[in-house]
Amino acid sequence: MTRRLVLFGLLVCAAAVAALVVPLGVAARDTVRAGAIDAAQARAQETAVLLSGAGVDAVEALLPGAPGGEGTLSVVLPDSTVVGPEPGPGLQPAVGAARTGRAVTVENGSGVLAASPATGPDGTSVVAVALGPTDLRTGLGPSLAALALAGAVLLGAAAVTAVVLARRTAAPLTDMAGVAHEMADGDLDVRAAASGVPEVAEVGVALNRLAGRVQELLATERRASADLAHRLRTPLTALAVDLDSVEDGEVRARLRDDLDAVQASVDEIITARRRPEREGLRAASDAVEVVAARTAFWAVLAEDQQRGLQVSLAAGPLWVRLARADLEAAVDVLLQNVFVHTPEGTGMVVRVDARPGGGALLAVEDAGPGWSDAPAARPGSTGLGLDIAARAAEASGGELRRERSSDGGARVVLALGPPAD
Amino acid sequence: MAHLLLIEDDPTIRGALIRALSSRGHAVDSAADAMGGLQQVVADPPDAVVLDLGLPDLPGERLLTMIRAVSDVPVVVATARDDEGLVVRLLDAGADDYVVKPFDPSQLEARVRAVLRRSSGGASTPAAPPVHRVGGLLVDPSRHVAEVDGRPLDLTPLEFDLLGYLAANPGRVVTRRELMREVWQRTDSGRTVDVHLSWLRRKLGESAEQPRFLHTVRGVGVRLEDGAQS
Repeated sequence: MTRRLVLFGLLVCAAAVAALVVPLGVAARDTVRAGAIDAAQARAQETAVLLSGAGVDAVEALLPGAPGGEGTLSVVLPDSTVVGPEPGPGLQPAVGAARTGRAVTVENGSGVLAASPATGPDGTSVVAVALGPTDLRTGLGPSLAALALAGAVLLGAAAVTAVVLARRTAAPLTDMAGVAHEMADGDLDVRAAASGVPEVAEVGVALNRLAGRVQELLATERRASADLAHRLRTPLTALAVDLDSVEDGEVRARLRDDLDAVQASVDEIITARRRPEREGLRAASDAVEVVAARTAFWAVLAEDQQRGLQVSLAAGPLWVRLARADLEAAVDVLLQNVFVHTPEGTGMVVRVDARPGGGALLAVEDAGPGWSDAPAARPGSTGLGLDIAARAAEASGGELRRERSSDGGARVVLALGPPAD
Repeated sequence: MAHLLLIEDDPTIRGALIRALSSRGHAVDSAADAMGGLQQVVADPPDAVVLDLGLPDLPGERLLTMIRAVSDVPVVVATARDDEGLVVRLLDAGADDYVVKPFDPSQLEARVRAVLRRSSGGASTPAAPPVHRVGGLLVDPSRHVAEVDGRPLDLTPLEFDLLGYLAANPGRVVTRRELMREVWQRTDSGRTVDVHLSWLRRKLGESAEQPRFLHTVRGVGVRLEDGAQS
């Protein structure tokens, strides 16, 4: 941004300098040209005065006393003989006009010719001063150089000013971008300095207000989660305490199982409700690292149960849009499902691959009996575990797929989406 | 018998807990709100307080702070939330232990007994929890040390709690559900317990096929005893 602002400032200033210097240069050129022509006319007239009254024989003797100056001085005698250098094209019209007794100035393609009549006893001679292109620009170079120097100084000053102003404008924005990134990464206590130009400072104020509002919303979410937990778990507590007074042990155990099932569902509801608290503003975790850690944790049980556990992980990291705790819970559910629903000794394979378009594909498959006819769950399952994994996948922008493994067992694929930018 | 004060606004839970704790031999007073509870702590100091956090007139955390300002009575907090942040705040605010809802009376009473045991020697010299010895296994909760045949074990906090609970119940088959309730304070029916038991086995230097301390009773649970001595 700083570079663009400086470039913009320089372009604007260059345009302004050009708008100022170019007309000045043109005016200087015209002034120098006009001065040269005036000088040539004066020289021609003064020489004509010198030659007036003299005969043609005296002209050559008198010419060295003529005034000097730019251009070439020639005299066209009454018989059209030229004394001095040939004045070049345009001579005849000028001479013709001057012979009528008036001074004339004629411009041709290559220069200017100033002619004045000088009347003598032998007729009217014409004094001509010819100015070439070089004569017309004499003295123009220093003027143009001064103008160019002034323009360069102006441009330099403009560049310095543009850099200073651009930095002053961009620095608060750069700081604010850093603050916004910190907020997105979950630090909502950080605040932007409301400094810089008024519009930029206003952005800082608005960013801080936004962070405060997000904090309020998260606090409200936390209170709502706490209230939900209290309202759901308090009646369960009453049931659990009342269960204690049931004297029939068999009935008490059965009711306890039922209560545990209800409590598991309630826990899942509360856990799902707390997802925004866990995620903050930006949920992200490395699927490769998390799956590696969780499979290492479960490997000991697999070994105790003589299960072959193959783990194949793509090169990491593979970032997915899930808080680490939620990804861990989803992985645990898939692994636990295999342990719960397949006999000991049943092998299992865990794979993590990159997902086309970002994110990761997590596949857990076993060589067990596979899915039951009911599509949602295996025999004896409440389906709650896979619901947890499915919700995690959907929250990441992906999905859960139930498939059949190459051994005829169950295969669950979690397609996990990438973190938000 | 201990004199307990139950501060709980829900009349159903309050009544049921009074009956359950009374039937276990405790004298139970109760209060339905924070101010009533605080008055009773001051007027008739109990041996321990069971404090529900969701009170109508004052947040339970505030009441806990106020109780701590006037008394060293052991406090067991009953909370519907189980997030670590809250638990840490409660313990920092002076709670001696906590129990997550829903709980059954035996869980609550076990925690009350534990805090009473810890406070029985007075605030300045709290009684040390007992050291558990099962054959060559030693678990010392006060020093957070576990040893097998004099060899110290490198356990995670959860593994230590798990081993401690099993060592406190030697020779008895402890169900997975009981371990979830007592150690994890949850009721998940998952295999997390099994995984931690597998890790514990490795650190105890045994395997599922050749157990020494952790004996799996298939379909029921696990029993801790020193097989090398039987």
